[in-house]
Amino acid sequence: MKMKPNLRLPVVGAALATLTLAACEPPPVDTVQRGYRGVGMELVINPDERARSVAENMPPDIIPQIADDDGPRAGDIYQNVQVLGDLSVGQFTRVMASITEWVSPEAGCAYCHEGNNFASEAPYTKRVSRVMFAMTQRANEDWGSKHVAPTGVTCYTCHRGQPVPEYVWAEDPGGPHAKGLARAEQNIAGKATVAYASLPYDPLTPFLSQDYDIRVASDTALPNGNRTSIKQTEWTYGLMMHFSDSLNANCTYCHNSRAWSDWEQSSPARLKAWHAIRMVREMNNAYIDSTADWLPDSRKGALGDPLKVNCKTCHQGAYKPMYGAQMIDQFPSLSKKTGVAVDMHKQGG
Amino acid sequence: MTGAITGYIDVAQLALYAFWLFFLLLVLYLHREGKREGYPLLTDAHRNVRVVGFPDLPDTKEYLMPHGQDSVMAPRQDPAEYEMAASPLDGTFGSAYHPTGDPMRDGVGPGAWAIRPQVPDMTIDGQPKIVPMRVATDFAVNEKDPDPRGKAVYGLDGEKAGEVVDLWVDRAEPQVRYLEVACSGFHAPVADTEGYEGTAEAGPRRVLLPITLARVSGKDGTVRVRSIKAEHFANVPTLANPDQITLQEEDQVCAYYGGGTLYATAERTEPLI
Repeated sequence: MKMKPNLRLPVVGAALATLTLAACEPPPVDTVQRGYRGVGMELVINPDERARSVAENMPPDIIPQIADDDGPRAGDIYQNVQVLGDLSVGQFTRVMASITEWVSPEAGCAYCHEGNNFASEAPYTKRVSRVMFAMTQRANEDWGSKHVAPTGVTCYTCHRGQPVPEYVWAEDPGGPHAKGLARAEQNIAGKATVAYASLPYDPLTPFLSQDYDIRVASDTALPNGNRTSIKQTEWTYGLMMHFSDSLNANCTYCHNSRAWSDWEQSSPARLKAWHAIRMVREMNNAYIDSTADWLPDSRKGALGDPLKVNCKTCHQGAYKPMYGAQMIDQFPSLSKKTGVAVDMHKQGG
Repeated sequence: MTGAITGYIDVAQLALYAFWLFFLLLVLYLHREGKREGYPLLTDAHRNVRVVGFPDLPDTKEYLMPHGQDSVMAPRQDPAEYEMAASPLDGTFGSAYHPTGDPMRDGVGPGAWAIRPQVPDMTIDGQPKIVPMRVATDFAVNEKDPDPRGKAVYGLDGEKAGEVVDLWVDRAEPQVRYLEVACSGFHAPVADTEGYEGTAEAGPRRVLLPITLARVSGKDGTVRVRSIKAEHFANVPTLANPDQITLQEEDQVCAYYGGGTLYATAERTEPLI
């Protein structure tokens, strides 16, 4: 009977289609116009995915500010308060209760404190916490108008109720390779850092820890001494993929792609991002690196560097962390450098 | 700066101008090559000018034909066309022509054909290229394909026009070019056969059907033709030699079926709305 091939083809075809066309999103999508009409600067948003992301990025319940500002200062009552000493005892306790919810809700106070000796410096987590207080105050006060205002940052922005923030990074040692061969540091499929492109897979180390120049485009039409290589351009592209992936936005969120380097054609978000790059470098170098001696190996990467901050650490797929939820106004003590935080900033540069 | 010639002119600019110049010359060259056939244009009979447009015709090129055939020149003075049984619908310039006789048989409109050599196309060995399988005995139908031989041929009206009796194959690039149809089954009399070669008698006659205008059923091998009715098979031009087909005959056979696409039914000439 000659019917056989006629039956087999559609079945095989349907099976192939099911296997190969798995990554599809159904229309309709939401779009946001980012540029002048016709320029093609548009964000495309899957409403279902966005709803899921909003649900995952809800701000936590905040302990209300019922404690009054009267009475003795925490620095006078307690023995070892170096940053939050200006708070009243009631406010100090509220901050301690909040940070517990934000960072170590399961382990509780004991995560950073030794037994009943709250003043003890023994747990490394307490020393790290102090640096993190300083870092938070620095971010809100000095980087506020440049990047984080008006929403500000708190412990929850990164930690989200976990002692180790979900999206931290360390230098990527790359995969295994034969002894006689050097790593290409790129051409690996499936690296989430660069949004699964095969671009250089660790653009964070040179650009968010070190301060290699990101700019590659020339200012002049004719070659005029711009020695930037194609390779450098690929590293910049890799970094930009990380930015884009972290904010779940495409390039046109910041750029007009006809001229990546032209600030006049960029959106104001690019200016925010420019400051963010400097802010993240400072966080990694001046604050997180200074905790490296205390941190156990489980808090370090394969090459021994501490787990660090990148865009995704705070943003977590939202164009603003927690979609712009306002938290810092409720915690004025985290929005201004106090105590040793002032000195830490100076030491960190 | 690298590449600067003056403050304004640079190498990229000159390279682009150079490309544009090359491109202009290329376009002109291609236009000249495009005029190796059909030029000079025909125009109003009373205007005694040579219409070639711009650029002018290229110099004549000679094509040396194999197997002792005459060379072909291009562009050339084309042979005189056959007289077309059609007249303008009205006197205005650009008016369409209307067939005056039997459009299926008069070679007008989609049924028109060109004056071509009265020799068959040849293989590289000098044999007639398109021949029936009774001549090209080393050919066979693929076992996975339906064999239309012995199967009925139906016209666009669904009537049976005849049966396939042989397949004409291309000996140079093996494939079926024509189906040979025996039209013995129909009884359509031919009313007016005057001056039309090969249609002097109705009854058992064999005609060719171009494979491109035949739809062979994958199930049973029967053949359907959409361009003409079954009765029109009576007038398909026949061959001077039953075992080969000349270039001229190929054009005339195909043009006959082509004419049917507009003239086989009255509705086909009419607009849709």
